[in-house]
Amino acid sequence: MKRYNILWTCLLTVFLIACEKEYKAPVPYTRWDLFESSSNRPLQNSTRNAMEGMYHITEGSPVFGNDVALKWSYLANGNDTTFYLSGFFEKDVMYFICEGKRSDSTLLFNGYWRKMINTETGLVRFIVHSKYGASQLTGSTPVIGADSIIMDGRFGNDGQVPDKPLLLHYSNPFKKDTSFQIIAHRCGGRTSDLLPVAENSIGMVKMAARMGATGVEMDVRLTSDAVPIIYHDEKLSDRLIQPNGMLGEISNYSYNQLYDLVRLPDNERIPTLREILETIVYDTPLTMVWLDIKFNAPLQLIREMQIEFEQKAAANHRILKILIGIPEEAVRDNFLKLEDYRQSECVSEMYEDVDKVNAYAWGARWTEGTQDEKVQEMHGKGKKAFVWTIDVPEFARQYINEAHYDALLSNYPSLIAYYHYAKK
Amino acid sequence: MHHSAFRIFLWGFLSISTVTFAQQSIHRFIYFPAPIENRWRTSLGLTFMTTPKAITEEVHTRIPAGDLHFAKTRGKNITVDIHLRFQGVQNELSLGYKWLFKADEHFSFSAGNDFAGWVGWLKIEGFDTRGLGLLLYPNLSMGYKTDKDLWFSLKAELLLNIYQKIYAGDNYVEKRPEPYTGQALTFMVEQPLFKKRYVALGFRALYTNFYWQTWTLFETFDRNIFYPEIIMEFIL
Repeated sequence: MKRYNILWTCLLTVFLIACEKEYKAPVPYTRWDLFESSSNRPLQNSTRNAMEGMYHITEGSPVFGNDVALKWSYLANGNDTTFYLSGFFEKDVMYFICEGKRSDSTLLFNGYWRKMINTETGLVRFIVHSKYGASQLTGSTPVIGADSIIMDGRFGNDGQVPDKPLLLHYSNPFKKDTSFQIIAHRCGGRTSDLLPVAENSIGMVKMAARMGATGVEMDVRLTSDAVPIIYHDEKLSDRLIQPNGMLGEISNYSYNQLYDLVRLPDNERIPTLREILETIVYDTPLTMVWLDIKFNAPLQLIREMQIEFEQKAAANHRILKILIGIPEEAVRDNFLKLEDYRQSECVSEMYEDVDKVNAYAWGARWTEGTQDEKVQEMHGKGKKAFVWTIDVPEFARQYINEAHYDALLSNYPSLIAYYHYAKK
Repeated sequence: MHHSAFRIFLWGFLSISTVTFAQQSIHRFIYFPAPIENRWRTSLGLTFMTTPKAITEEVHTRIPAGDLHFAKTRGKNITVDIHLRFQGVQNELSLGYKWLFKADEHFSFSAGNDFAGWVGWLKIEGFDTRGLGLLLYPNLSMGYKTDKDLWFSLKAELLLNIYQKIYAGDNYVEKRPEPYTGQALTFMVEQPLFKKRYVALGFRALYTNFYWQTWTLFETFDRNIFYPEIIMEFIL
């Protein structure tokens, strides 16, 4: 009998190891009383602009690596705009996101950091003292050089009070290349990357610029009543929505059914293309949208929205390029049925169709290599060459530094941002 | 090309299985950690790994791999293992040894190490990738033999990833990663199926942040992911 007990123990052990661990990386609670003081003031545009650039890490490098790219972004909400300072690191695909304020003669920054490759996260806070850059940065015309800004920081793990040193020394400004696009996959990142918002959601679009993106890619599908929505999979899946017993192809459901019954993991509804484009135009600094068309039906409605929202962006003094993505022949054929398809800007993933559809860009798959000759050929034709979807850091570095693509699509826009801004 | 390779693999596997199934097994077990006479033991079968949703997303399928296993006891208590897992586009060969310890009539134990190399290539539309790597699998096994014709074994392995080189076109990444990659626990039952034909059936639970069968996915998470694997082999 004892021997059989041992057998059952073995079986139970196998069963227990087979129970998959659920990973989570919740954003820690960031409240810092010094930062919340009512006497603090917002930072000026000149301050924000002057402090963008590359910084050396002189303390904290075992965790954060040797340097970091600091970049500002914003999120508008009506007349209220929040500015965020993001730090993009190479090591472990890390980033931090902070808000900034001025307190007397010092600058304060408060936020959190996260490693994208795993679940590590924590709080981070910085002070820029008067004599280490704050006076310069708050002046009317800041003149910034190497080591003229020192960000005296502390970081901690999870929700612990930050007490470990993180010291950043300003190194150099970013090079003036505004044409390269950092395109974030699925509006900013995947649900499986344990971000605080769901993939292909309004929350993710709002977060994309903070993650380093200058543009976003999203998956467009049609409901049964022909409403364009943003959702990746062909079917409703517990992977992407809160389990509710609904099954089958998402195109079998009407928009009202999805609106009433389906919630994304962060409790949002599945967004419509219209809602997402409204958010991008009015709330974010994003300048490019790649619509990955995942349905086989006429594209007239998508074309009309492309025109409408590019016009809205222009009226709002925003540069925004909306590209219709053509991943396969069926979508290409529907695209060619548009009366004005030659005026509609698109990304063709099929190299041989680029001329036929008069594509704005060729969307190359990264797993075929850097394909330098084809990229040069595109440039020779006055077209762009994009590459998708690179997440492996070593390959991302090679494609940024050695290839000649005009845009790079990634689930890790912060990593692409680091390599792009750190490029000599 | 992809499909024809798989078809050849499937037909080859079925042919060999049919021939071998008609014969009697010479040996009764191959996984059980106990010595046997000084002859090669062989098994041929299939493994089915279920792709984890964490990295393959909506594609949730069982991937078959051919499994050819040779083992031979050298001296009184050392077993040499050669294990080939093959899918055509990606394959793994491991060479290893086990030190065996028989506690009594029912219980046996072993401690060993396997040195494995995997190689894969995928050149279809959208892919021009190749990869290879080296892994170590130090392992401990416990076996229990019943009074009837049943051999149970439980094997615990560490997965140590020591080298990787992966190409995309002419670009490549060469890595000597942090060796600890994950662990696996395998439960096997070896028993007669009918007459004197013996089979090995089992379940392998891998918890690892790299598994050679999914190298083409270029997964970047530094977290252990669960790969369940079903093992079915004929002992020849």
